[in-house]
Amino acid sequence: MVVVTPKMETSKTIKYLSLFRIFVFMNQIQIDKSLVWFLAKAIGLYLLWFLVYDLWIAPLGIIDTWLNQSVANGGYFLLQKFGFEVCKDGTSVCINNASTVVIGRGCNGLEIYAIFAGFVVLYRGSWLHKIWFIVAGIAFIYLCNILRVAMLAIDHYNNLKLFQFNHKYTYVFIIYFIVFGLWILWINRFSKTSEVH
Amino acid sequence: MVYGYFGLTDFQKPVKYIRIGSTILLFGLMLYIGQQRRNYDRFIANQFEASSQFGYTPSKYPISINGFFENIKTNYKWLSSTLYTVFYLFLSSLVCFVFFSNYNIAVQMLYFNIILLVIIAFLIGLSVITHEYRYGYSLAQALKKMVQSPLPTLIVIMYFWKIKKP
Repeated sequence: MVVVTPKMETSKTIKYLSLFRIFVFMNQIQIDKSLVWFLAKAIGLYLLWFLVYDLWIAPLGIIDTWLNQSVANGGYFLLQKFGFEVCKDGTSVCINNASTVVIGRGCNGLEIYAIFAGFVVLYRGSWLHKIWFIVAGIAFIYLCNILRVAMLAIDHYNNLKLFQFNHKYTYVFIIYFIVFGLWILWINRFSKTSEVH
Repeated sequence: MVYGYFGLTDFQKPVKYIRIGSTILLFGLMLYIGQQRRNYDRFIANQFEASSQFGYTPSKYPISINGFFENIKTNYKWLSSTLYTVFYLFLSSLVCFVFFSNYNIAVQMLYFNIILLVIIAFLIGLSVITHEYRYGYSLAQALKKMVQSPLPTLIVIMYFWKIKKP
Protein backbone atom coordinates (compact mmCIF):
# COMPACT_ATOMS: atom_id res chain seq x y z
CA MET A 1 0.00 0.00 0.00
CA VAL A 2 1.31 3.41 -0.93
CA VAL A 3 0.58 6.25 1.46
CA VAL A 4 0.40 9.60 -0.26
CA THR A 5 1.35 12.45 2.03
CA PRO A 6 0.69 16.06 1.09
CA LYS A 7 3.96 17.59 -0.02
CA MET A 8 4.78 21.14 0.87
CA GLU A 9 6.81 23.08 -1.63
CA THR A 10 10.41 23.56 -0.58
CA SER A 11 10.34 27.34 -0.89
CA LYS A 12 7.25 27.52 1.32
CA THR A 13 8.87 25.31 3.95
CA ILE A 14 11.91 27.58 4.06
CA LYS A 15 9.65 30.61 4.33
CA TYR A 16 7.72 29.17 7.28
CA LEU A 17 10.91 28.02 8.97
CA SER A 18 12.50 31.45 8.71
CA LEU A 19 9.32 33.07 10.01
CA PHE A 20 9.39 30.66 12.95
CA ARG A 21 13.02 31.55 13.62
CA ILE A 22 12.20 35.24 13.68
CA PHE A 23 9.37 34.53 16.13
CA VAL A 24 11.67 32.54 18.42
CA PHE A 25 14.31 35.25 18.21
CA MET A 26 11.82 37.98 19.10
CA ASN A 27 10.84 36.00 22.20
CA GLN A 28 14.45 35.98 23.35
CA ILE A 29 14.64 39.76 23.47
CA GLN A 30 13.80 41.12 26.87
CA ILE A 31 12.08 44.46 26.89
CA ASP A 32 13.02 46.43 29.96
CA LYS A 33 9.76 47.57 31.56
CA SER A 34 11.38 50.30 33.61
CA LEU A 35 12.96 51.67 30.41
CA VAL A 36 9.57 51.72 28.70
CA TRP A 37 8.07 53.59 31.65
CA PHE A 38 10.99 56.01 31.76
CA LEU A 39 10.76 56.72 28.02
CA ALA A 40 6.97 57.05 28.14
CA LYS A 41 7.35 59.72 30.81
CA ALA A 42 10.08 61.44 28.77
CA ILE A 43 7.90 61.49 25.63
CA GLY A 44 4.91 62.75 27.62
CA LEU A 45 6.93 65.57 29.14
CA TYR A 46 8.43 66.44 25.75
CA LEU A 47 4.98 66.66 24.13
CA LEU A 48 3.68 68.73 27.06
CA TRP A 49 6.59 71.13 26.67
CA PHE A 50 6.02 71.32 22.92
CA LEU A 51 2.31 72.10 23.37
CA VAL A 52 2.99 74.73 26.02
CA TYR A 53 5.70 76.28 23.86
CA ASP A 54 3.69 76.15 20.63
CA LEU A 55 0.44 77.41 22.14
CA TRP A 56 1.55 80.00 24.67
CA ILE A 57 5.26 80.75 24.84
CA ALA A 58 6.01 81.15 21.11
CA PRO A 59 2.94 83.29 20.22
CA LEU A 60 3.58 85.62 23.16
CA GLY A 61 7.26 85.78 22.28
CA ILE A 62 8.20 87.41 25.58
CA ILE A 63 10.63 84.72 26.76
CA ASP A 64 12.21 84.28 23.33
CA THR A 65 12.68 88.02 22.83
CA TRP A 66 14.15 88.44 26.30
CA LEU A 67 16.49 85.47 25.86
CA ASN A 68 17.63 86.61 22.40
CA GLN A 69 18.42 90.06 23.76
CA SER A 70 20.12 88.64 26.82
CA VAL A 71 22.33 86.22 24.85
CA ALA A 72 23.22 88.98 22.36
CA ASN A 73 24.13 91.29 25.26
CA GLY A 74 26.25 88.56 26.81
CA GLY A 75 28.07 87.90 23.54
CA TYR A 76 28.62 91.64 23.08
CA PHE A 77 30.00 91.98 26.61
CA LEU A 78 32.31 88.98 26.23
CA LEU A 79 33.67 90.18 22.88
CA GLN A 80 34.29 93.61 24.41
CA LYS A 81 36.27 91.94 27.22
CA PHE A 82 38.29 90.03 24.60
CA GLY A 83 39.31 93.43 23.21
CA PHE A 84 37.22 93.51 20.02
CA GLU A 85 35.64 96.65 18.61
CA VAL A 86 32.02 95.56 18.83
CA CYS A 87 28.62 97.11 18.25
CA LYS A 88 25.09 95.80 18.74
CA ASP A 89 21.87 96.38 16.86
CA GLY A 90 18.94 94.61 18.48
CA THR A 91 19.94 90.95 18.61
CA SER A 92 22.67 91.38 16.01
CA VAL A 93 26.31 91.60 17.10
CA CYS A 94 28.95 93.14 14.85
CA ILE A 95 32.73 93.33 14.96
CA ASN A 96 34.45 96.37 13.43
CA ASN A 97 31.09 97.48 11.97
CA ALA A 98 30.72 94.17 10.09
CA SER A 99 27.58 92.26 11.02
CA THR A 100 28.47 88.80 12.34
CA VAL A 101 25.73 86.92 14.21
CA VAL A 102 22.00 87.46 14.76
CA ILE A 103 20.44 85.61 17.69
CA GLY A 104 17.21 83.95 16.61
CA ARG A 105 14.72 81.61 18.24
CA GLY A 106 16.79 78.50 17.56
CA CYS A 107 19.96 80.02 18.98
CA ASN A 108 18.76 81.18 22.38
CA GLY A 109 18.95 77.68 23.90
CA LEU A 110 15.42 77.58 25.31
CA GLU A 111 14.78 74.09 23.95
CA ILE A 112 18.04 72.78 25.42
CA TYR A 113 17.09 74.19 28.85
CA ALA A 114 13.75 72.37 28.61
CA ILE A 115 15.35 69.06 27.59
CA PHE A 116 17.95 69.29 30.35
CA ALA A 117 15.42 70.24 33.03
CA GLY A 118 12.94 67.61 31.82
CA PHE A 119 15.36 64.76 32.44
CA VAL A 120 16.31 65.98 35.91
CA VAL A 121 12.61 66.33 36.80
CA LEU A 122 11.92 62.77 35.57
CA TYR A 123 14.82 61.15 37.37
CA ARG A 124 14.75 60.28 41.04
CA GLY A 125 16.12 62.67 43.64
CA SER A 126 14.92 65.17 46.21
CA TRP A 127 13.03 68.16 44.83
CA LEU A 128 15.22 70.59 46.70
CA HIS A 129 18.31 69.20 44.96
CA LYS A 130 16.46 69.10 41.65
CA ILE A 131 15.54 72.79 41.82
CA TRP A 132 19.03 74.06 42.55
CA PHE A 133 20.59 71.65 40.06
CA ILE A 134 18.20 72.75 37.30
CA VAL A 135 18.87 76.43 38.02
CA ALA A 136 22.64 75.88 38.15
CA GLY A 137 22.57 73.69 35.02
CA ILE A 138 20.54 76.21 33.03
CA ALA A 139 22.88 79.00 34.15
CA PHE A 140 25.86 76.91 33.02
CA ILE A 141 24.29 76.14 29.62
CA TYR A 142 23.39 79.82 29.28
CA LEU A 143 27.01 80.84 29.88
CA CYS A 144 28.21 78.21 27.41
CA ASN A 145 25.73 79.57 24.86
CA ILE A 146 27.08 83.10 25.33
CA LEU A 147 30.61 81.79 24.83
CA ARG A 148 29.38 79.97 21.70
CA VAL A 149 27.86 83.18 20.32
CA ALA A 150 31.07 85.10 20.94
CA MET A 151 33.16 82.37 19.28
CA LEU A 152 30.78 82.24 16.32
CA ALA A 153 31.01 86.01 15.89
CA ILE A 154 34.80 85.75 15.82
CA ASP A 155 34.58 82.84 13.35
CA HIS A 156 32.23 84.82 11.12
CA TYR A 157 34.52 87.83 11.17
CA ASN A 158 37.64 85.80 10.33
CA ASN A 159 36.51 82.86 8.25
CA LEU A 160 32.98 82.35 6.92
CA LYS A 161 33.51 78.68 6.08
CA LEU A 162 34.78 77.96 9.57
CA PHE A 163 31.73 79.77 10.96
CA GLN A 164 29.36 77.62 8.90
CA PHE A 165 31.08 74.40 9.97
CA ASN A 166 31.26 75.32 13.64
CA HIS A 167 27.69 76.62 13.69
CA LYS A 168 26.32 73.45 12.12
CA TYR A 169 28.45 70.76 13.70
CA THR A 170 31.10 71.63 16.30
CA TYR A 171 29.01 73.67 18.73
CA VAL A 172 25.95 71.45 18.34
CA PHE A 173 28.12 68.47 19.30
CA ILE A 174 29.62 70.38 22.24
CA ILE A 175 26.19 71.44 23.54
CA TYR A 176 24.96 67.82 23.39
CA PHE A 177 28.11 66.75 25.20
CA ILE A 178 27.56 69.37 27.92
CA VAL A 179 23.94 68.35 28.49
CA PHE A 180 24.95 64.67 28.58
CA GLY A 181 27.70 65.50 31.08
CA LEU A 182 25.28 67.38 33.31
CA TRP A 183 22.87 64.44 33.28
CA ILE A 184 25.68 62.06 34.23
CA LEU A 185 26.69 64.45 37.01
CA TRP A 186 23.12 64.45 38.29
CA ILE A 187 22.88 60.66 38.27
CA ASN A 188 26.29 60.01 39.82
CA ARG A 189 26.60 62.78 42.36
CA PHE A 190 23.32 64.38 43.29
CA SER A 191 20.43 62.00 42.76
CA LYS A 192 22.02 59.26 44.92
CA THR A 193 20.37 56.55 42.89
CA SER A 194 23.18 55.54 40.62
CA GLU A 195 23.68 52.11 42.22
CA VAL A 196 23.02 49.04 40.12
CA HIS A 197 19.44 47.83 40.62
CA MET B 1 36.09 37.47 37.85
CA VAL B 2 35.65 41.22 38.18
CA TYR B 3 33.81 42.92 35.34
CA GLY B 4 34.25 46.58 34.46
CA TYR B 5 32.14 48.76 32.21
CA PHE B 6 30.31 46.96 29.43
CA GLY B 7 30.93 43.61 31.09
CA LEU B 8 34.57 43.56 30.04
CA THR B 9 37.43 42.06 32.03
CA ASP B 10 40.52 44.13 32.80
CA PHE B 11 42.29 42.33 29.97
CA GLN B 12 39.68 43.56 27.52
CA LYS B 13 39.65 47.17 28.76
CA PRO B 14 41.35 48.70 25.67
CA VAL B 15 38.31 47.53 23.69
CA LYS B 16 36.24 49.88 25.85
CA TYR B 17 38.09 52.93 24.53
CA ILE B 18 37.68 51.74 20.94
CA ARG B 19 33.95 51.42 21.56
CA ILE B 20 33.67 54.85 23.16
CA GLY B 21 35.66 56.38 20.28
CA SER B 22 33.52 54.63 17.67
CA THR B 23 30.34 55.74 19.44
CA ILE B 24 31.50 59.37 19.48
CA LEU B 25 32.31 59.13 15.77
CA LEU B 26 28.92 57.59 14.98
CA PHE B 27 27.21 60.23 17.08
CA GLY B 28 29.05 62.87 15.06
CA LEU B 29 27.80 61.14 11.92
CA MET B 30 24.23 61.36 13.24
CA LEU B 31 24.65 65.10 13.77
CA TYR B 32 26.22 65.52 10.34
CA ILE B 33 23.40 63.64 8.61
CA GLY B 34 20.84 65.67 10.56
CA GLN B 35 22.38 68.92 9.34
CA GLN B 36 22.50 67.71 5.73
CA ARG B 37 18.76 67.00 5.70
CA ARG B 38 17.81 69.71 3.20
CA ASN B 39 20.35 68.38 0.71
CA TYR B 40 18.74 64.93 0.84
CA ASP B 41 15.30 66.50 0.33
CA ARG B 42 16.63 68.33 -2.70
CA PHE B 43 18.24 65.15 -4.06
CA ILE B 44 14.97 63.19 -3.82
CA ALA B 45 13.08 66.12 -5.39
CA ASN B 46 15.49 66.14 -8.32
CA GLN B 47 14.89 62.44 -8.93
CA PHE B 48 11.18 63.15 -9.43
CA GLU B 49 11.79 66.46 -11.16
CA ALA B 50 9.86 68.22 -8.41
CA SER B 51 10.71 71.68 -7.15
CA SER B 52 13.65 71.77 -4.76
CA GLN B 53 11.49 73.88 -2.45
CA PHE B 54 8.84 71.17 -2.16
CA GLY B 55 7.23 70.69 1.17
CA TYR B 56 8.07 74.15 2.42
CA THR B 57 4.58 75.53 2.00
CA PRO B 58 3.54 78.90 3.40
CA SER B 59 1.05 77.26 5.77
CA LYS B 60 2.73 75.02 8.31
CA TYR B 61 -0.05 72.43 8.48
CA PRO B 62 -2.61 71.24 5.90
CA ILE B 63 -5.95 72.95 6.36
CA SER B 64 -8.17 70.28 4.83
CA ILE B 65 -8.17 66.60 3.90
CA ASN B 66 -7.83 67.58 0.23
CA GLY B 67 -4.76 69.60 1.13
CA PHE B 68 -3.38 66.56 2.93
CA PHE B 69 -3.73 64.24 -0.09
CA GLU B 70 -2.68 66.97 -2.53
CA ASN B 71 0.49 67.35 -0.52
CA ILE B 72 1.24 63.62 -0.85
CA LYS B 73 0.55 63.62 -4.61
CA THR B 74 2.42 66.74 -5.60
CA ASN B 75 5.56 66.59 -3.56
CA TYR B 76 7.92 63.92 -2.39
CA LYS B 77 8.90 65.28 0.97
CA TRP B 78 7.09 62.40 2.64
CA LEU B 79 9.31 59.96 0.71
CA SER B 80 12.47 61.78 1.66
CA SER B 81 11.31 61.99 5.26
CA THR B 82 10.43 58.28 5.42
CA LEU B 83 13.73 57.15 3.94
CA TYR B 84 15.63 59.45 6.23
CA THR B 85 13.71 58.26 9.30
CA VAL B 86 14.28 54.58 8.50
CA PHE B 87 17.99 55.22 7.99
CA TYR B 88 18.20 57.18 11.23
CA LEU B 89 16.37 54.43 13.06
CA PHE B 90 18.99 51.85 12.14
CA LEU B 91 21.84 54.27 12.76
CA SER B 92 20.67 54.93 16.31
CA SER B 93 20.45 51.18 16.94
CA LEU B 94 23.95 50.78 15.55
CA VAL B 95 25.24 53.45 17.93
CA CYS B 96 23.70 51.55 20.87
CA PHE B 97 25.12 48.26 19.62
CA VAL B 98 28.62 49.67 19.21
CA PHE B 99 28.57 51.28 22.64
CA PHE B 100 27.24 48.32 24.64
CA SER B 101 28.02 45.43 22.32
CA ASN B 102 24.65 44.10 23.42
CA TYR B 103 22.15 43.06 20.80
CA ASN B 104 19.23 43.30 23.20
CA ILE B 105 19.78 47.03 23.81
CA ALA B 106 20.11 47.76 20.09
CA VAL B 107 16.83 45.99 19.40
CA GLN B 108 15.15 47.85 22.26
CA MET B 109 16.32 51.11 20.70
CA LEU B 110 14.78 49.98 17.42
CA TYR B 111 11.50 49.09 19.18
CA PHE B 112 11.43 52.44 20.90
CA ASN B 113 11.80 54.29 17.60
CA ILE B 114 9.16 52.10 15.95
CA ILE B 115 6.74 52.83 18.81
CA LEU B 116 7.37 56.54 18.23
CA LEU B 117 6.61 56.10 14.53
CA VAL B 118 3.37 54.28 15.37
CA ILE B 119 2.35 57.15 17.67
CA ILE B 120 3.16 59.64 14.86
CA ALA B 121 1.01 57.67 12.39
CA PHE B 122 -1.78 57.48 14.99
CA LEU B 123 -1.69 61.24 15.58
CA ILE B 124 -1.76 61.99 11.85
CA GLY B 125 -4.63 59.55 11.35
CA LEU B 126 -6.51 61.07 14.26
CA SER B 127 -6.05 64.58 12.90
CA VAL B 128 -7.25 63.49 9.45
CA ILE B 129 -10.32 61.76 10.91
CA THR B 130 -11.27 64.57 13.25
CA HIS B 131 -10.29 67.34 10.78
CA GLU B 132 -8.31 68.88 13.59
CA TYR B 133 -5.07 69.39 11.69
CA ARG B 134 -3.49 72.01 13.88
CA TYR B 135 -2.85 70.04 17.11
CA GLY B 136 -2.53 66.56 15.62
CA TYR B 137 0.08 67.74 13.17
CA SER B 138 2.00 69.88 15.59
CA LEU B 139 2.33 66.94 18.01
CA ALA B 140 3.26 64.59 15.16
CA GLN B 141 5.86 67.11 13.98
CA ALA B 142 7.28 67.35 17.49
CA LEU B 143 7.64 63.56 17.72
CA LYS B 144 9.09 63.39 14.21
CA LYS B 145 11.65 65.97 15.20
CA MET B 146 12.50 63.81 18.21
CA VAL B 147 12.89 60.63 16.12
CA GLN B 148 15.10 62.50 13.64
CA SER B 149 17.44 63.78 16.34
CA PRO B 150 20.15 62.01 18.36
CA LEU B 151 18.28 62.76 21.60
CA PRO B 152 16.51 59.37 22.05
CA THR B 153 19.81 57.58 21.43
CA LEU B 154 21.48 59.76 24.04
CA ILE B 155 18.75 59.02 26.58
CA VAL B 156 18.82 55.25 25.95
CA ILE B 157 22.64 55.17 26.15
CA MET B 158 22.55 57.06 29.41
CA TYR B 159 19.81 54.84 30.79
CA PHE B 160 21.71 51.59 30.21
CA TRP B 161 25.11 53.03 30.99
CA LYS B 162 24.43 54.84 34.22
CA ILE B 163 20.95 54.00 35.47
CA LYS B 164 20.48 50.33 34.72
CA LYS B 165 23.61 48.55 33.59
CA PRO B 166 22.95 45.61 31.26
